[in-house]
Amino acid sequence: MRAIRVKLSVAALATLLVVAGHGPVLRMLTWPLVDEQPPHEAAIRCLQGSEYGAEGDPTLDESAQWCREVPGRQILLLQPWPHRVVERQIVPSFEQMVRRELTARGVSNAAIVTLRGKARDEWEEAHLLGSWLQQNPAAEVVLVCDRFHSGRMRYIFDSVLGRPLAAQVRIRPMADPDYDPAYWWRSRKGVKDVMYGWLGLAYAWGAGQQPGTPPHWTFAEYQSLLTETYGKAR
Amino acid sequence: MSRRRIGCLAGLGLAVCLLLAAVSARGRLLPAAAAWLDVGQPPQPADAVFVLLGDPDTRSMTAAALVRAGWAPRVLLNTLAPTEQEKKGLVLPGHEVHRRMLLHCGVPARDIVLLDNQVRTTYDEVLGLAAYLVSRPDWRVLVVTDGPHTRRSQWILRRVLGDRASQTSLISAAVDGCRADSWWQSESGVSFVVSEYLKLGFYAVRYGTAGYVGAAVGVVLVLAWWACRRRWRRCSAPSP
Repeated sequence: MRAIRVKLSVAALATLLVVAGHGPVLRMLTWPLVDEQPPHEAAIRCLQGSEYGAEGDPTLDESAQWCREVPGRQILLLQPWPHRVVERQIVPSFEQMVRRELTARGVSNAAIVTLRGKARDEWEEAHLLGSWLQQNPAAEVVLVCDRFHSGRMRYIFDSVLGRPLAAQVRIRPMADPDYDPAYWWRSRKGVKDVMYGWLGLAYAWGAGQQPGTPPHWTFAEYQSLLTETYGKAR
Repeated sequence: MSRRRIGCLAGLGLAVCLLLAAVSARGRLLPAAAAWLDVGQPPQPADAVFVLLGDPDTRSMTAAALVRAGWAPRVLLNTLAPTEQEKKGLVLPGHEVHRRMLLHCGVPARDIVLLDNQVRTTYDEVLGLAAYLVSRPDWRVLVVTDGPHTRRSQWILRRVLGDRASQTSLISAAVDGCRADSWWQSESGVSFVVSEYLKLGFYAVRYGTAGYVGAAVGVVLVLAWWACRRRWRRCSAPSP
């Protein structure tokens, strides 16, 4: 009977600790996802994003201010693979959107350089930036990316570029403005970001870069696929 | 060898056998895992196409193709609650991108109905559809979403619309980089399929009864384990 009482007390104490200390535990869960490094003085900043936006406007505000502070600083843009909404000019491309916003914040157009290559994923982005770094061996780049994807970006750049070149790329994780990353579990978006962060990191660790790129239909290809599938109503 | 050790070894052997069977059958299991998520049906004549907001590259193009082919005369779109980026005009609201894609694909503006409801989740979107259908009891609706998202959408439609869910048909939009026979070979495919399973679990707990059922099963299992352990101890104790 005494043993049961002791076990029940231990279980209750453990439950209490989990309930009271869930914050640190959940925060710890994101450690591998984030590549936190001390701030680094580089003359070049690299932005990546999707056609539906950069990684939030704090990225743009901070990058514009950083670029204005010292003359000669540059911003590199990694142009992603264009979605069909961009191909048909329904929404502006990542480059158009970032140029528009940075110039509106006082950055000169000449300070913004686009690396063209239509990277389909982060592995291809790393190759793109690697080629540029080989042509600019003295350059040091700070890559700005989503906070919960920064650990994965570090892993990808280390794998693709190898030690000496990868050291020229620093990662600057940026938090999403829609939620507090220290309390990510309180927001649906935060939970989704952490979930996708883990899925991406686990895939990068487990599978690495895949040789074949997944198929991506152009607007015309997708249209003909749909016409074939749905034909005409009876 | 004690009975306890024999039990442990048998359990371990069973786990190894199951793991080996899963690895050797992965060629059939992996496509089946994605195929189970896709419950899309062939289109039938309907009164409207309802687009679940998400990727306009796939869903709106599919909805426009259905309207152009004559399966339904109009498209229903929810409006999304604005994000910080949208509030500041950095990017277009998601529903506006869908609307523009529909227009671009040849759906006339008069045939696009925007439901003013500021949704955030798929569940909210179906609630928006349910509210719209209250005054249209005989309408049939084609619900368009990405293939792996159709299983969860079907679950939500049944939960929210009840018997009226039979008046809806789910239409799968083809997704770039995520085919049922090779989804595990790309990161986007793995993210999509695995996250759909996780979200299905979350929805079952959050909106369904899986949370209560899971808790009840957990309690029963703990009690059973405790009872078995007591019995085992009594049996293995040396008799006086």
